[in-house]
Amino acid sequence: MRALNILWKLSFIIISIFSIVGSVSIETFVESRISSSEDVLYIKKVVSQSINNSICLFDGINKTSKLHKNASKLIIKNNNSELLISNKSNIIICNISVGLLVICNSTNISITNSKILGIKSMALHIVNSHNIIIEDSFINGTITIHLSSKITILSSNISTAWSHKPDIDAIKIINSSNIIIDSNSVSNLYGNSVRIYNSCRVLLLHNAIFDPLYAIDIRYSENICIYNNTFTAPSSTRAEYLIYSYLSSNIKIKWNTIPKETSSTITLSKSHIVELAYNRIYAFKVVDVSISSIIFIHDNIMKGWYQIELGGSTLVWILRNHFKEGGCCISEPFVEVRYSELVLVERNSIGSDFYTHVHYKVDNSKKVFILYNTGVLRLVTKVDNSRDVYVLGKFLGIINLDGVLLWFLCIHGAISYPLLIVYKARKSDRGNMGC
Amino acid sequence: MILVQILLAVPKGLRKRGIIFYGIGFAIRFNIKQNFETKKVKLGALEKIIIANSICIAIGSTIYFLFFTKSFFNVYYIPFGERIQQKIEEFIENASLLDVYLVAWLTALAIGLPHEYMHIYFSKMSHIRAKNMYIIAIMGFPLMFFVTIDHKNATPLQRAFVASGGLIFNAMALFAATILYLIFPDSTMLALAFYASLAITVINGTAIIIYLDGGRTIAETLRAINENYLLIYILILYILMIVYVFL
Repeated sequence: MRALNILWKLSFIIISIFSIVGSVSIETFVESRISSSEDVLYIKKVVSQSINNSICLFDGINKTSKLHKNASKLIIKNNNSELLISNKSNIIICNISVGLLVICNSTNISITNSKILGIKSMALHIVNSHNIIIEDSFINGTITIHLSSKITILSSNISTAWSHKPDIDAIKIINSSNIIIDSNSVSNLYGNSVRIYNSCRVLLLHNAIFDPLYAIDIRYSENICIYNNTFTAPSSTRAEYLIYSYLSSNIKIKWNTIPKETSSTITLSKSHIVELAYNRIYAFKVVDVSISSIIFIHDNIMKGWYQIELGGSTLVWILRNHFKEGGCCISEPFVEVRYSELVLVERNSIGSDFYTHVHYKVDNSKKVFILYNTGVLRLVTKVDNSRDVYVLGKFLGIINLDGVLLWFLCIHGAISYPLLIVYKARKSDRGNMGC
Repeated sequence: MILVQILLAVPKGLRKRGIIFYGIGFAIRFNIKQNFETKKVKLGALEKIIIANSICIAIGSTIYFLFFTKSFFNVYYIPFGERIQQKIEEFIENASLLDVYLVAWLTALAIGLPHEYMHIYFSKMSHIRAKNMYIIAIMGFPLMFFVTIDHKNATPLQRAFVASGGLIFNAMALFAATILYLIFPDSTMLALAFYASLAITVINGTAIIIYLDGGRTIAETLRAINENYLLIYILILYILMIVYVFL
C-alpha cells in the first residue's frame, strides 16, 4: 500500500513536470518549424527588403536649402494687392500682405513672415518653379504646387476658411517632386488638408492638422513620407478618413498621433510598399488595406472598433502592434484577412477584449501565419474557407498563458492572507512553540 | 563611488559593525537575536497547507519563467505592459538619479524586508534559528536580501516551511499590487510596484534554481517525502535547464 502510494505520488510529480517540459518542447518544436517555414521567411524577406530599399526621401537635399548667395534681396513691404512673380530668380520677400500670390517659371524665391489672405479660396499658386521656401507665414486659402520641385513650406499657418466652397483643399501638390511640408498648422474643415497627385518625394513632417474631413489624399504618387504629424479630428463630426492612398507606392507613415476618434484612419487601396509604424491611432476603423501588396504594419498602438482589415492583399507583415477595443457592443476581429495571400500576423498584443469574441479572422485566404500573438486571457482565431493557415502563440495560440498565470499567482496570494491570519491566531492560542 | 567603496573596504571597524564594502558595492549585516537552538519539530496540518500553497506558487512561477522570461524583460509584453511601459518611460524622463535611487530602495525595502521577515517569522514558528540578515547593494542599488539560517538539526519539511514564507509574501504582495494597480491604473508608483512584485515572484519562485525559495521549497518537500525524490527532482531540473537553454 505504501509502495503504491509512493508510486502514485512519484508518477504524479513526474507527469506534472514532464507536462511542463513537454509543453515547452512541443511549443519550441512547432515554433522552430514555423520559424524556419519557407513562406514565413519569404514574407519577412520580401517585406523587409522592399521597405529598406524604398527610397528614403530627400537624401542629400537640405530641408531648408538656402537661396543662392547672389540673391537680389528685393523686399516688398505692405503690399495688399495680388502679386505675380514670373520668370524671376533669387528673390527674398518678407512682411508682405497680399490677396493672391502666383509664382511661375521662377527659381530661388523665399517668402517669410507674410500674409497671403486668399481670393476666391485661392492663396498661393506655384507653377513650374524650383527651390521655393515659404516660411513663418499665414496663408488663408489653397496652396497649389504644380509642375514644380524643391518646394518647402515651413512653420506656417495654413487655413481655408471658405465655407461657401466645401471641397477646397489646403495644399494641393500635382505633378511635382521634392516637396517638404514641415511644422505647419493646417486647418481645413471641408476638403483635403493635403492632396498629392502624381507626385514623388513628398515629406509631411511635424504638422498639426486640425479638423480634417479628409486629411491626406495620395493618388498615383510615390516616395511619400508622413512623419510625426498630429491629426485632430473635429469633436462634433467624424473625419471620413485621414490618410488615403490610391495606386501609390513607397509610402512611409510613422510616429503620427491621431488622438480623437475618426471614421477610417488609414486606407490603402491598390498601393504597394507601405510602412506603417509607431503610430498612435484612435479610430472607428484603423487600417483598411485593399488590393495592395508589400505592407509592413508594425509597432503601432491602435484603438478602434475595426482594427486592421485586409482585402485582396499579398505579402503583409503585421508585427508587434498593440490593439485596444474602441468601445462597447461591437465585437469585430482585431485583424481580419479576406481574399489575401502570404500574410504574417506576428507578436501583436491585445490590451482589452471585453466585447471581442473572435480576435483574428481569416476568410478565403491562403498562407496566413498567426504567430505568437497575445490576448488578455485567451486568443480566438476563426478560419473560414482558407488553406495553409497556421496559428501559434503563447500556449499554442489558445490562451494567454501569462495572464492566466498572473491570476493563478494572485489567487494563491489571496489565499495566503487568510491562511497566515489563521496560522498566527492558532499560534497565539497555543503559544509560539516554546519561543 | 567605486573609489569611495574601495576606500571604505579598508577599515575593520565597519566590517565588525556589519557594514562590508567590496569595491563595486556594499553589504549590511543585521544580527537576529533568537535565544533558542534549532530542533526537530513535527509540523501540523496548517503548516503543510502553507507549504502546499507555496509549492503551487512555485509551480506557477516556474511555468511563467520557462515560457516568458525572454519577453519578460521587455515590459511591453507582460500583462498591462503597454500602460506600465508608458509609466516607466514617463518616470525615467522626469526622474533624476536621486529619484531612481530612492524608488529602487523604496521598492526593495517594501518588498525585500517583509519577504525576509516572513522567513525569520516562519523559522521562529518552526523552531529553526535564524542567524543573520544581509542586504547587498551594487553601485548603490539594492541587489539582494537574504537570511542565513541554522538548519543543521532541522527536518526537510521545516526547511521547506521556512523557504515557503518568502514565496507566500511574494504572492501576497503581487495580489495587493495587482488589485491596487487595477483600481488606480494611472499611478506610476503602483505600476512600478506591480512590475517589481511580478518580477520578484517569478524569479524568486522559479524551481529551476534550487537555491531560490521556489526550488528550495519543492526540493525540501520532496526530500521530506522520500530522499530519492530529491535526486529525481534534481535530475528533472537538469533536463529542464537543458531544454530551456538549448531549445
